[in-house]
Amino acid sequence: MSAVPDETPTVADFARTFRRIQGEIHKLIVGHEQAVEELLIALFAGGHVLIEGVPGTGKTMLVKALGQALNLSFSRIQFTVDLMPADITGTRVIVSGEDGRREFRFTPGPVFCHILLADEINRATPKTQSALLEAMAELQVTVSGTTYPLQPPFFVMATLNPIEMEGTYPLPEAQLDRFFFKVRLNYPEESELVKIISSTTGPELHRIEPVFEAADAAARIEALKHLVREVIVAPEIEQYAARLTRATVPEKSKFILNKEGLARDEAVNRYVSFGSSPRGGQALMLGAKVCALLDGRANASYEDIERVAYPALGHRLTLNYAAEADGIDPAHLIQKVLKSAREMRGH
Amino acid sequence: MASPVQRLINREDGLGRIAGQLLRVKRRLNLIAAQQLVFSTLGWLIGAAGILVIAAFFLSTTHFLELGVALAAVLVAALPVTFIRSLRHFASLDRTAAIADQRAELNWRLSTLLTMAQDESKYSLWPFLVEDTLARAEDFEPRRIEKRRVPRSVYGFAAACLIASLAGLMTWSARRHQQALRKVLKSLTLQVDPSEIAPSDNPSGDSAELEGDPDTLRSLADRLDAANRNNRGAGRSAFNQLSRKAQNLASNLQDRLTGRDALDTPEKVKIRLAQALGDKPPPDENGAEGSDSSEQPPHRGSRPSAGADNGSSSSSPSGSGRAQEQANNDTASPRGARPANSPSANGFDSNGPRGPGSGDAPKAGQQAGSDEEASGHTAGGGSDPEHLMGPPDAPSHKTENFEIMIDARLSDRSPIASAQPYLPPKVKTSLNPYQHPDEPLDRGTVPAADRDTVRRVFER
Repeated sequence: MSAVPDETPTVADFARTFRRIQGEIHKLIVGHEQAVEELLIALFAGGHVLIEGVPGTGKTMLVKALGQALNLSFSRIQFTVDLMPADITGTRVIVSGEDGRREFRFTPGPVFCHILLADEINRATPKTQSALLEAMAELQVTVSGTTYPLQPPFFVMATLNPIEMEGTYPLPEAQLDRFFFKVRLNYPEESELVKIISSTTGPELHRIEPVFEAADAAARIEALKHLVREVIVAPEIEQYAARLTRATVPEKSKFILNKEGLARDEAVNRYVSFGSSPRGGQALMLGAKVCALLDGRANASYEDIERVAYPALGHRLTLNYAAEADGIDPAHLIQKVLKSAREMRGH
Repeated sequence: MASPVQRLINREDGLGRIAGQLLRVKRRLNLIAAQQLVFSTLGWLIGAAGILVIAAFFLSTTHFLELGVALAAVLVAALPVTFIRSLRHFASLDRTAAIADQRAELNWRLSTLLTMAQDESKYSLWPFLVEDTLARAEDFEPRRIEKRRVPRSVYGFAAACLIASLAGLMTWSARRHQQALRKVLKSLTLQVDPSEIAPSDNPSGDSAELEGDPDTLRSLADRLDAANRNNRGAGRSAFNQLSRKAQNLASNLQDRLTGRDALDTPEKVKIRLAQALGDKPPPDENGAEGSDSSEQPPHRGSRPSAGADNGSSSSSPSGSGRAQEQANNDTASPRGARPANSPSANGFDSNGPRGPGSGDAPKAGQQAGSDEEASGHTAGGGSDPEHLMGPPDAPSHKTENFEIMIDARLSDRSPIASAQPYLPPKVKTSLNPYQHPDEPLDRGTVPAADRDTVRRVFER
């Protein structure tokens, strides 16, 4: 396990490093500025990202580019219907020892890396999908009663293909909740598409320069992640994050005992079956802290919270059939929630 | 023991400087809030008062009263709201920090510093936050956070002052006009159509005289008696009494605002009754009347002649005061002449008017005959169309030599709320020989020759 270096990075270091990584990624990835920024926010906040996009929008390339820029170990698992949990975590195999005796030895799976790309995660069975749960939440893997720790930083990026839904298994809510952000990759604009075509079909291949040295990359990233936690947050901002999270919960939910402080938004009550879990609040706050550092501040603000509200809360809302029938998406509801929370804020 | 805020301000470090600057911002914000409180409150009061004064010149008493009630309601609603809204603008240091954060786009830096100052040692990034905020000290200078030196409510206050100035100008102008009148008005003689006389509510004073031929006075006394009875019956309900009181109050206030109450009353007001009620008297029924009618063309209750008039015949004890006041009002402003009082209060009885407290009051006829000039004015006044545009008044032999035209008309500004304007009685005239009463015809039989035609028509 890498130790945090003695030299603590400053706020300026953080912002500079962040922008540099961003710049390196954009050598390969054209457009998707917001997606890249959200990806990096999740990385430095210590979370995992679910990337949703139609085929060909650069999901896999984005993850590869990130791995190269960070100069961290990178694994890719193509999820299929016949993928088994042991294919992810690793398994015990019989090997011959030096003395000729045969013994079981644990062979680590692809999960033992810094950056893991779980490509088309919804094509594997729930059993296989759940194999990632422990790794994502607790940074460890248990195989045959033995727990193996993962090396930080551990960053899972799973991609979801929203089309070709036959033979897919939607992610269970519990696993969705473990993703820090859900990032959407939209179709590129025309000007971006021109650049993509130009840069990928010409003789010159763009190469990403690693931002960190391979030896201290993990440690430096961990130090930056540690700095994020040092950002000062006033109680009002924490309360705002909590209020925003609770505002996604419908009033009629049977899991709410005290309805005081719930935002009264009719759209939430009508279209949401289950609101965000406390993990949503944590994601809001950590994401806001990263945003504050990016902005060169040592304190979080309301604007930072609102900036990460969409990727942090959107995938944590379970919508009902009425929402599907009316064509309501989570972004629309988050917008309503933000509006009502701003009114309660009184600014 | 200093408060946490005071301790913060007293610190010599960067945080102390930030807190000191925030304190200056707070003072500026609170100064604006205090000005807003004063300007908006005064604006409402002065504006409402100005509108009321201006309305007193233009509106009738009823409308003036309605406007007054409406203005009072607006003030009752607006003043507490204004007060509370202004109070909300007063800021504590924490709120000042929030406002400064918002207006200087400091992203909650100041509020975080103030809130977390007690636990500063817990945060490794605290020195950075202080230095970062200090570097932006110019952004939250008091003059940048609150650019205005006076609140916007000063515009409302200025508008209210403008209205008040206009009202003051109107009042001053009216008073000047009344002062000019005061110099020339010694006594007043009004020629009044008895039909326009109504009972007064609060009779007072005794400087008015009522004169006319005995029949006119008698019929007037009867009419006023009847009107008083009606008014007493109508004024029994509490609402009517309250309404009457409010009308009186509004009337007094209106007079006071327009300065009419300050006008000196003439020493004597002589009210000459033009004709008897109901039936028209013959033009030359009374010799005095006939003789004077040619000299002084009668004007229907609208032509007072000023000057010393010695022809007092009957002094009404209480109603005359009201009559005098009305006469003054009518001189000052064009209003209907309604100088009257209840017959009993006026000293009228079935035999005619009597003096107050004098058991041997002179008869009305004697009164009319005792003053030639008065009788002459009364005779046929307003009754003979030929005399309406008669020869001009003979010049008075008195020292004061002028006339005041009064446009006497019916007005809703009655001393009694329930007093109705005069309505002519319904007269049923007999039919001439060629007319038939409006009664249904008897059912007749259809002539045999026409039966077929009638049946055909109705069957179709």
